[in-house]
Amino acid sequence: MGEQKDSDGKRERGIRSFEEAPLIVKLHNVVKIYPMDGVEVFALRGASLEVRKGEFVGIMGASGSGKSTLMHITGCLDRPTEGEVYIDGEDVSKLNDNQLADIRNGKIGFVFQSFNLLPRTSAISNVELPLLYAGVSRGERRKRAKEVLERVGLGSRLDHYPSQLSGGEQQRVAIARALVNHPSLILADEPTGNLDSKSGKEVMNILKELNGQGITLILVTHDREVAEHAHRIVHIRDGEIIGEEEVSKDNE
Amino acid sequence: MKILEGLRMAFISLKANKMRSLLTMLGVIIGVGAVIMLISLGLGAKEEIGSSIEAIGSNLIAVVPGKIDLKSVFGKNPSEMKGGVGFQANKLRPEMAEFIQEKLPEGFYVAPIVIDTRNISYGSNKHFTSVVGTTENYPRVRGYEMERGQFFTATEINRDICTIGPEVAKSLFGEQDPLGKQILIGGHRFMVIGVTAPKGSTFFIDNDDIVQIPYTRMSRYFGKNKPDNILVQAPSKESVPGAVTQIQRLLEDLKLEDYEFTVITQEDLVGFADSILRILTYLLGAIAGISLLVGGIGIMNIMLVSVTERTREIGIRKAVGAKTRDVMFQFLMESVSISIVGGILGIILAFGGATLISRILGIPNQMTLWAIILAFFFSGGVGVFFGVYPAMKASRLDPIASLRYE
Ligand SMILES: Nc1ncnc2c1ncn2[C@@H]1O[C@H](COP(=O)(O)OP(=O)(O)O)[C@@H](O)[C@H]1O
Ligand SMILES: [Mg+2]
Repeated sequence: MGEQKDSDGKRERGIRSFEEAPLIVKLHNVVKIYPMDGVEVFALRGASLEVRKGEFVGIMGASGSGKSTLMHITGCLDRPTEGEVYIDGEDVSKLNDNQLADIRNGKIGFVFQSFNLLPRTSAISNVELPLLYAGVSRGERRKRAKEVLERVGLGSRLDHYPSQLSGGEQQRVAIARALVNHPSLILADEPTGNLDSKSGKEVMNILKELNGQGITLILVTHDREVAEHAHRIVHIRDGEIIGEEEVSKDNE
Repeated sequence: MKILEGLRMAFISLKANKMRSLLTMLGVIIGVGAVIMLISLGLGAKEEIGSSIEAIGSNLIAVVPGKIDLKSVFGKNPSEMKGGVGFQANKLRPEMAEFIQEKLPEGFYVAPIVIDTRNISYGSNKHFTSVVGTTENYPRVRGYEMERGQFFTATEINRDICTIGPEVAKSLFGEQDPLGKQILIGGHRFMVIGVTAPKGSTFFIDNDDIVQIPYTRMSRYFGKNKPDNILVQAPSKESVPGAVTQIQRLLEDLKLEDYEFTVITQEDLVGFADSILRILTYLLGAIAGISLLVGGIGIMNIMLVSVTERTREIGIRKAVGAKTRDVMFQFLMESVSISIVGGILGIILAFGGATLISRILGIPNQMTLWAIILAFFFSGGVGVFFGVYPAMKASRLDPIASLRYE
C-alpha cells in the first residue's frame, strides 16, 4: 500500500476526462455475507464504487479481500446481501434471475482468471455462446464469432479446442467471447493471473485496445505493473474499499 | 432457443459420451423393441387364428361332451370348471346326431365325429394317421372338396369303404391311382373310393393327413361308438344363435342322467382365441412397460450424474446469459434425444426380431404404422418425464457456486 496516494489530491488530475461521462456502475454500501457451515463469512462489508463510461479501473487487494465477490456482484452473477447496485442507472439488486441473465448477456462481458471455456467445444463455438442465448441465428453467430476471434488474433484457431490452445490463446478466446455481444462493460478478474508475462502482455494490450474503443473496463489484479495500465486503481481490504489513486499517464 | 438447435446441441453432447449414451438407451431400446415386436406378432397371430378357425368350416356349431365355459376359462375359479374336456364320461351317441338332424329345419347339416389314430398300409407302404368316423355330411360340414372319386353316401354307411387325404394318398400310393384299391386300416380291409382336395392345416393339425370312414365301421372294428363331438353346419351366420338354443333344448329333452354337453359356436372359438391373445398382450405389454420404466430411471440416473459432472459448464453458460429455461431446455433435450434415439433403435430391433420370429414360428407379422408412431412418441414421453427432474436441478444451479465447483 506504500504507493497508494491520497485520493482527494488525485481527483483533480486523472478523472478529468470522465467527469462528464455517465455512471455505468454504481455500488452503494454493498454487503455480501456467505453462510459457511453456520458461520457468516463477510466477503464485502459496505463497499461503494462508482465507475464512469469509458473508464479503465484497476482493483487491487490481497487474496481473500473480496475482489472477486465485488466483480461477481457488479457483473450481475450474484446479488448483494445488502446495499444497492446500479448498472447503467438501473437498480439490479431487485431483479430476478432471468432479468440478471439478460443483463449479463447484453451489457457485460466476463473474463476469468481460469478462462472458463467449455472443454471439448471449439474456440468459435465457445465464442458463439452468448449469441446463442441472445437468440441470434446460427449463421450470424458464426460470422460474428469469427470476426471477434480475428480481432483478438485467433483467426487461424477457430476450430481448435481449448486443450489445443496455449493459456494466452485460451484467454484471448475468453476475451472474444466477452466481446462478441457488444458489451458496454468488461469485467476481468485477474485475467493475466494464470499466464506467463509475454501472454499476459498480449492480453493486456487487447484489453487496453478495447477500452480505447470505448468499452468500460474493470480489472482485478495482484500485479502493480498490470494495474498501472488503468486510469485509476481502487484498493480493497477485508471487504472494504480503503482508497483509490490516479495513475499518472506520463509514460504514454 | 429453437427445438432443432437444441437437438443439435444435445446430439453433440451425447456423441461425447457414446458408450454411456448407448448403455443408457438400452432400457428404452428393449422396451420399445418388445412392444412393437409383440404388437406386430400379436396382430399376425390373431389373423392366423382367425383364418384357422375359418378353415374348420363356416357357420359351425359343435356339441362337445363335458361342461366348458370358454368365456369364464380365465375369469373364474378353476374348480368351477366341472370336468372340462374329456374329464367326464362321454355321453354323446351317434344317434344324437341323427336326432338333431331330424329336429333342425332344412339347410342344417349334422355330422358326428369319432376320432382315432391307426396304422394303415397298402402293400409294403405303411402310414400312421388320424381316422375319422363320420357320415356323408362330413365334407360339407368341414368344407372338404373331392380331388378324385367321391365321399361315401348315406346308403353306403355300413360298407368298408374310406376316403383319404392327399398326404395319405402320396404316402401309400405315390403316383399310383388309389381309387378302388384295398388298404388296411388297423388290420381291417377298406376300399378307397375318394381322395380329398388339399386343405392345409388348422391349429397345427394337418387336414390332408387323414382318413375318413363311416362311423358304423369305427364302432364295429375299433370299438369306438361315442362321437368326440357332433358338428352342425348352419345355413347362415344369422341362424347360428337360434340353432344353438334349439340344440341345447333338444339335448335337455333327451333327459339323460347327469349328462354334460356344451354347444360351442365358431364365434365362441374366435372370442376365446381373442381373449387368450389379449391376456398375452397385456402380460407382455406390462413387461414392456416395466422395461421402459427401468429405462426411464436409467436415463434419469445418467442425467443426474451428467448435471453434477457439468456443473461448471452450467455455471459458464449462465455467466454468459443462459436463463433458467435455457439450461432446463438443454438438459431436457438431451434426455429426450437419448430416449428417442433409443426408441428408433428399438423400432429397428423390433423389425428384425419380428421378421425372424415370424419366419421361425411360421406366423405372419404385421408391422403397423400406428404402433411405430405410438412407440416413438411414448419413448419421447419417457425422455421428458424422467428428464424433467435432472433438468430442473441443472437449471436451478447458482452461477457463482457452479463456477467455483471443481
Ligand atoms: N461462495 C462462497 N462461500 C463462502 N465463502 C466465500 C464464497 N465466495 C467467497 N467467499 C469468501 O469471501 C471472501 C472473499 O472472497 P473473494 O471475493 O473470492 O476474494 P478475492 O477474489 O479477493 O481473493 C473470502 O474469505 C472467501 O473465502
Ligand atoms: Mg478472486
